Amino acid sequence: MSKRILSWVGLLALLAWTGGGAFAWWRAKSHWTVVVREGEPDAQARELELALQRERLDSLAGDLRALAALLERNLPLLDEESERRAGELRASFAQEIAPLRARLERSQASDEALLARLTALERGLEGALALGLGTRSGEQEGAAALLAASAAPTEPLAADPIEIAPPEPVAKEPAARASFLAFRLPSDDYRFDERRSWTIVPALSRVGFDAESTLHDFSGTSSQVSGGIEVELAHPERAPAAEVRVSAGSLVTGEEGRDEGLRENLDVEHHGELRFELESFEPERIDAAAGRVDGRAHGRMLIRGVEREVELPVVLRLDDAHRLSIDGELQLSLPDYGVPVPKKLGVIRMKDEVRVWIALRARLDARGEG
Amino acid sequence: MRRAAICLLLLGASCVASGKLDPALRSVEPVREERAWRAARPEDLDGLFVSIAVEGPLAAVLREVHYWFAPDGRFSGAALVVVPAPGFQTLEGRWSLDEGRLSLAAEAEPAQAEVSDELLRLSGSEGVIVLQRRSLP
Repeated sequence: MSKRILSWVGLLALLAWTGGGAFAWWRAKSHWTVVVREGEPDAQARELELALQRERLDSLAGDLRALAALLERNLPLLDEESERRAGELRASFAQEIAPLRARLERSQASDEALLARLTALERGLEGALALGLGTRSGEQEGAAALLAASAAPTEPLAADPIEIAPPEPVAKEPAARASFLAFRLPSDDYRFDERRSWTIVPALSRVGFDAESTLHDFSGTSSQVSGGIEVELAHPERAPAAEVRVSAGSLVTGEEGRDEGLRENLDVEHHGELRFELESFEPERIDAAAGRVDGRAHGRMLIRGVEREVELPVVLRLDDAHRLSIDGELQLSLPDYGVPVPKKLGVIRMKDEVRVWIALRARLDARGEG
Repeated sequence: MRRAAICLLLLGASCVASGKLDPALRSVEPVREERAWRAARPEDLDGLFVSIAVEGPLAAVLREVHYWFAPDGRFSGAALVVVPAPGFQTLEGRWSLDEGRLSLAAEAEPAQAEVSDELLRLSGSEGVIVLQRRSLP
């Protein structure tokens, strides 16, 4: 009996425990929601990670700021260094290219000379052909051209560069063609950078002086002038040669009495020639395109037998016929040359200083003519 | 008395114009005589002509020219050329004149031909040449 009672008590107790448990489960279920996810870090770990990343970012930002500051300091230095290097490279390049350019220019000049000879030969051949056909004009022309071509010296190519020539106009090709006069005229192959000679044309030249006196200012002039100049206009400083001679007795002032006095003071009977002889030339401006050279001529002036060093500022200009005009003036003291200064009545006195000037025109000589 | 003379002299001097040459007039310019030129006619080109002036780029290579024109249309010429070296060129051929345009060679441009008294002026793109009629010696 008791066994049966105990079995029932035990069963009841089991049921009560189970019921209580079920009730408790039901109660808890209404208050909690449990979500289970696999692999998610917890909040603390995330915060830690974020803190680490923030720190790394702060560090990177600091590094960038430092880098920017460094760049700001160093970029100008880098710029300067680059500029310096570029300058060095440019200078080095210019130095290397200068000889090449000079050689190229020499080569071009040589080509032009060769072309001139070929043209002369061509003319010679034409003449020879004409001779074969019995044409009189071709005979003489051809013979002359053949002679000229055979006599023309061959200029060897210079191997050593000298220096860069100033800008110059494009040289004309010396090709012969029938002109409106029907002659086969060669183009003049004159080049600004070649040494040539010019002869003064007296009819187009004049020299003179301007004098001042207490009574009257006057000028004396003469066209009895002769001489010439030999120069390379592109480099007039390279051993130029020039001489200008004037007949002292040919100076006239427009008043016969004064001219007589002038001749007397210049002692033309014993010193019939006034002369300027060039010794060196100091160029100041060379304009090849305009055919103009400004500079100072240094030389010796001879007046009344007395020779003195003078400096004569001059301008040389080339026209389209390659004629050269030479203009210049300088101040001279007559007593320096032993020339008596005219004086009359004790009050009319000429100043010791006179302005001597030249206005010369010179014609380009043919090669080998000057 | 002497002072008065000096004063008068200086006063006179101030009235005297300066005889100093203007620097702009120092250079000698070729005398260009004003002439009345007219287009040449065939009858103007008869005889010997010798150059007296050569102007323009032509002057760099040409110093002197002689032409002899015959009325039947033949001509002969000689030119003293200085490039590449001084020497004479000679030629002969036939000339024709059309409205003042003188043709001396088929391959050459015609020259503008004008006359004034004994002078003949030939102009072309390379310059101007003035010739003077001469009698045959």
